[in-house]
Amino acid sequence: MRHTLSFLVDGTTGELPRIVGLLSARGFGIESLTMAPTHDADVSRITIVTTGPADAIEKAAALVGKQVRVLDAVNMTGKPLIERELALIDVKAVAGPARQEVLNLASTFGAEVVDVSEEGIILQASGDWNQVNSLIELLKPMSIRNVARTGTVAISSLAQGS
Amino acid sequence: MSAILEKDLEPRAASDTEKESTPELMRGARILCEAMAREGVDTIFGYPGGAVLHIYDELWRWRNKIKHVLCRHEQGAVHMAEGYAKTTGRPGVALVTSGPGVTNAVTGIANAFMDSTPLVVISGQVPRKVIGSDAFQEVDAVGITRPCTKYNYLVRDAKDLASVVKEAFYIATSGRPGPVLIDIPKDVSGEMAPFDYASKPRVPGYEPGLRGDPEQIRLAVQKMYEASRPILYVGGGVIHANGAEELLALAERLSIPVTPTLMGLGAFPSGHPLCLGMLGMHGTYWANMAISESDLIVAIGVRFDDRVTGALDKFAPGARVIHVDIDPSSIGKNRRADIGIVGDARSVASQMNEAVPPAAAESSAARLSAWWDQINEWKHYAPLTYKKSDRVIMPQYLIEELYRLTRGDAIVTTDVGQHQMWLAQYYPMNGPRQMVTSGGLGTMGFGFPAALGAQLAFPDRQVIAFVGDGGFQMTAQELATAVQYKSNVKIVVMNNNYLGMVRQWQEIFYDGTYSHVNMEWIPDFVKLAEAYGAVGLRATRPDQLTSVLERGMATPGTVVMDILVSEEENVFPMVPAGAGLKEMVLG
Repeated sequence: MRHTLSFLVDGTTGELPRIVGLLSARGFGIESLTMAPTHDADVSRITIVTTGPADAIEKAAALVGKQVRVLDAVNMTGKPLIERELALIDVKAVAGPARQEVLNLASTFGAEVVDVSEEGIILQASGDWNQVNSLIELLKPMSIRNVARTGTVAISSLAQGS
Repeated sequence: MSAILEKDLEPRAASDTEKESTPELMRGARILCEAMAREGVDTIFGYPGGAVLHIYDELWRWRNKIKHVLCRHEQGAVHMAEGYAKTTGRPGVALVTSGPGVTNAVTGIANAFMDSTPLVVISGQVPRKVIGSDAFQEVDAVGITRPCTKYNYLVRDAKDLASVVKEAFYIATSGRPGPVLIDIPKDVSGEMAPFDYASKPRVPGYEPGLRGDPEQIRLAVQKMYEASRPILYVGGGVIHANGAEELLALAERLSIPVTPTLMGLGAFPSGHPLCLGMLGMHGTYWANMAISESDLIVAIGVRFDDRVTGALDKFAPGARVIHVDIDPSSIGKNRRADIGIVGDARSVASQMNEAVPPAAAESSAARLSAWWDQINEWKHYAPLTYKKSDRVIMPQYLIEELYRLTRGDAIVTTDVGQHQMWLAQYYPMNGPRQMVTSGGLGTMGFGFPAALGAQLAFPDRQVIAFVGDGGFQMTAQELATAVQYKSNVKIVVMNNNYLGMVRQWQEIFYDGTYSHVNMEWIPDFVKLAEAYGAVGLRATRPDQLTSVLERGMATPGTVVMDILVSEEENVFPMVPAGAGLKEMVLG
């Protein structure tokens, strides 16, 4: 099962390898990982999407939570949350019907064209993990050349309060 | 040392809000020493090297304030610091150089991490500009020690040193204690900076609480006096929190039996009628039966370690669990807790005591009489026993004699293995900080250097390193340290010519295939002691034992007593790995 873990850490260095080490030492794979400062430049948010048994993830989140520089550790799995990620997808699309098909798909998914050449197109897609995945799956038959994804960022939805 | 410097070293008055910044610049190494002096550091166990030359240069000026103990290996230095910390309750300090200095220290750091011992380890690092260039004696100290420290620092600027030291001592000693490493590049300890010191550490988000939630405590106490088969399962957390008295009061108030873990030995007096002795893989039959059949486990400062519980799915199936721990991530980690209380053992035990209604306290002995009858029946069914011999020295007899001759009052340290388990069984610990052992990591070679640290902290107490022949050979070079500092430490080598616990497992679980456990060549420990300038004595027969121990204890200075014991004696009871606690082999 996919789990979304969200950690607030004091400072911008040091805690990331410690947290990744705690998870990897317990055998969890990391599907995606993001880290960037919040509105407070001294505080960063780390969002990690990982897979594993729910109780083990819960214990690992507690272990991260007790680290000296971790201000908050939340397992967001199953809670109301807004999840987003951004992907840059370089797909082969020569002018003609092939390119049109790519553009149609892009428009269905609300993806933007951010670069174009005679040979291909780079699309910028955003959405939750499923949406970005679906677009990539549909583009696969048209020869994707490169994909760069940011990984998931997440925040509690307002329905839950903060 | 100049008079001016002496004056400089006088401790300054500190208030909670004091912030101090000197316009005067001083060398990083001096900032380090000034800051350590403010933490009350009086002893450092260390080993010099290139990256710590500035620090050693400075330490020479501080030699009347901070005693430096020159060890013979960095592992020994960190174990000594741990022996010092465990017996005093104050943080131990070790100082090592970069590269191999750090890697040699890692075993000691990991040992302290597993046993939650407060340590501050200072390591030298190559100069900032060559970090990452595979410079001479460079290792990524912060990376290597990250999984086995509570926190660690690479100091990038000498002006940060004072506050880093303040934070490091605070982190090491508060909450669940543990080792903290401070890695200092050589040029940082050599550069000039102001002494920028805040007497309160800034660690946002880190606020270990001491007192437990009153409502949870009320619920827990109600369960405690309603239970018909309760048991207190107590560990190292009680000792770290200095909570032995509070625990004693609580147990006596409710007449609840107490079983300590290996790390909890001394948290409750072993000779007390409520004490069932150690539980777990080599615990007493009655302690293991009592926890298995209990209906309520009150776990204080313990972690339901696999060596305690045996197979978790068979562990105390009928018991509810109240789990008290300063570390929230420890609660429910291995066994689900019905009531979890985050707090330190001392505060929570005292809060629990206050919450016991007088009527419940008065009726407790009568209410639990059937439970106690059952426990006493188990105790009579399978008491701790061994086969006496007048031909060979039995290891258990050795420990009984040691107990008798020291009147049970010595500080005793051990390594890991058979000797450690027998000591836990046959040397009742009467108070906290009396036994110093390697519990979680199970480190051979820990006991002797740890005893040196303890002896330095308590020069007037009898300190005994009780070690095996295998473990002693791992850190025996510290004999030089012992003799150099005129230590009175007594080393009792329980010499069975084997890696005894491994041999025992090979005998029981591998059809007696003794694969590479026979120490076919062991140095003559008497001559080894003499080579280092210590005294060596040997007993090979039971009729020599008492006089050798008496002579050894009475001889001033460092003494090695090589005691040849029965070679293939096994530790019983024993819970085979993977079995339930009730599936004990009694021998």
